[in-house]
Amino acid sequence: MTGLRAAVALQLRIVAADRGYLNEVLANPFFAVIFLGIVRGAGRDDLTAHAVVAPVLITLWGMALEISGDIVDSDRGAGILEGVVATPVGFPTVVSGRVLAVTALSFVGIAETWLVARFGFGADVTVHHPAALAATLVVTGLATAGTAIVMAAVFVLARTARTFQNTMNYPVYLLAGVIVPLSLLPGWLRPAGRALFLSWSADLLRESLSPAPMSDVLPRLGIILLLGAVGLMVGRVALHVVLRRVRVRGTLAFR
Amino acid sequence: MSGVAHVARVLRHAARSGFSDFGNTYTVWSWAFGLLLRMLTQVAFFTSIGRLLDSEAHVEFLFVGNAVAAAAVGCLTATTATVWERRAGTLPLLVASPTSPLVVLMGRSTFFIANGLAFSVGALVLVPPLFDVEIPMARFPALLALVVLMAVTTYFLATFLGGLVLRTPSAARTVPQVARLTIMAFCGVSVPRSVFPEAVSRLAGFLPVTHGLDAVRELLGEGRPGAVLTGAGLELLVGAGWLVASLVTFRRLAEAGRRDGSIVFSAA
Repeated sequence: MTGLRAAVALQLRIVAADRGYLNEVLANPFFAVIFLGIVRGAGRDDLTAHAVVAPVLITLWGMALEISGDIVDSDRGAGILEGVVATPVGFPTVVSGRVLAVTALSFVGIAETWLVARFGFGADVTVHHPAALAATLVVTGLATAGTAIVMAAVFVLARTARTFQNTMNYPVYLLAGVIVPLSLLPGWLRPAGRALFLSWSADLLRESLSPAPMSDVLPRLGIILLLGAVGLMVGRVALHVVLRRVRVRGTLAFR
Repeated sequence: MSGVAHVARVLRHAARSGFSDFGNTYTVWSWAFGLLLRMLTQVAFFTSIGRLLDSEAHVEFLFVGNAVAAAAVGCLTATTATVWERRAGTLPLLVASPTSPLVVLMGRSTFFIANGLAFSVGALVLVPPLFDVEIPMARFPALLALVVLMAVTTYFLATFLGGLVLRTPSAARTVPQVARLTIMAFCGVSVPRSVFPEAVSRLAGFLPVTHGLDAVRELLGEGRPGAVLTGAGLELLVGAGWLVASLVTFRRLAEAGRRDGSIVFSAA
């Protein structure tokens, strides 16, 4: 736990020093303008919930992707990756803590999106199910931090983290239905989308903004947590295997 | 050797070196399944919002805007060219050389134009079957010419921004990102400019893509040659403006960097 807390504190200090880490937070209002502009420009005010949920999830996922790739890449570049891996605190714990810190920061995106909706488009975004909304955001944040470990493992192994990093955003946004629900995607894509915790989060967040009663909230929250936990476990095992492999081969510090 | 021939020679060598770097960074596999796949899914993602709106007209609007803008968006990465040179330790040498460093950097980054064009062509060919969109083949050559024009005009904006990044390398990731999103949000790529206040729409007219995309939509719509040529002409004018801005500012920014030492010593 001490290691996790230290990793969170370290990441917050890094973000304060290098604001490049906040690019995704900076991108949020642009995405909000795009999505709100599309749906409200088309006269479909009924789809405002879709347009405001999407930028929030994009910021969350984008930040996690950015940081999980960058931890490996920047630590390699600075020549400290070997030192970090050699410390008694496990590397997965360090990654989890650092991702958790940026995940918490990415929730700034909620305020940004709300401000764009309210003052840019005059849209009233009413939260009809605040408890469900809050619970979904919390479990989504945890699941994001868990899943980021898998990505970090790939980044350790990959020739360059950036190549992979750049590939992992839009396919996930599309498959997870962050704006267009899975029901509108081709049937063969839906199972893959359901394997992504973001698809469950997107549905719950949209429903929490709708006056219609919500059903099966707890089981669906459980699925998000379960998928996040699976990501965490798979990630820890993968990272262990990958780290062992690159240490044996002596390629940990090489790109 | 005349000045023009000299510039052309430097551009040619720099371009060859840039393409070589690009070839060393990406394999065919990592390019196709890394960069291209990402751009294709980006176009598909935005196009799918038309399905959410349950409107074929919006599907087509979103597809055309995003597929065509893919080339321009790809070119904006050239903004970070100075950062790569700094990391490689070659930036001070370039700035100190008798040849304009801007010419070298522009040449070194021309592969981004080719890369962006591959994105757009890939999207225009591979994404339509997923959304039942048809691009009239007879208009494809003219469409391609407009895509090239937009890629080049955006490339000139990227070189101007590259000069700014030269002075503030800590903003190397932020500047192209903001430029990319500004174009995607306000230049008519996904959102009709009529949605925004008049002043925003006018300001977007000074950015690449805006007029070129108007020309593309006209070409694929009513196809009035006059309107297409007007859009293309305005796009050309905007590109020329950004090129002049790059030429005027880059040397000054580089000289300022030499004076305060930030050309070499700066966190990138």
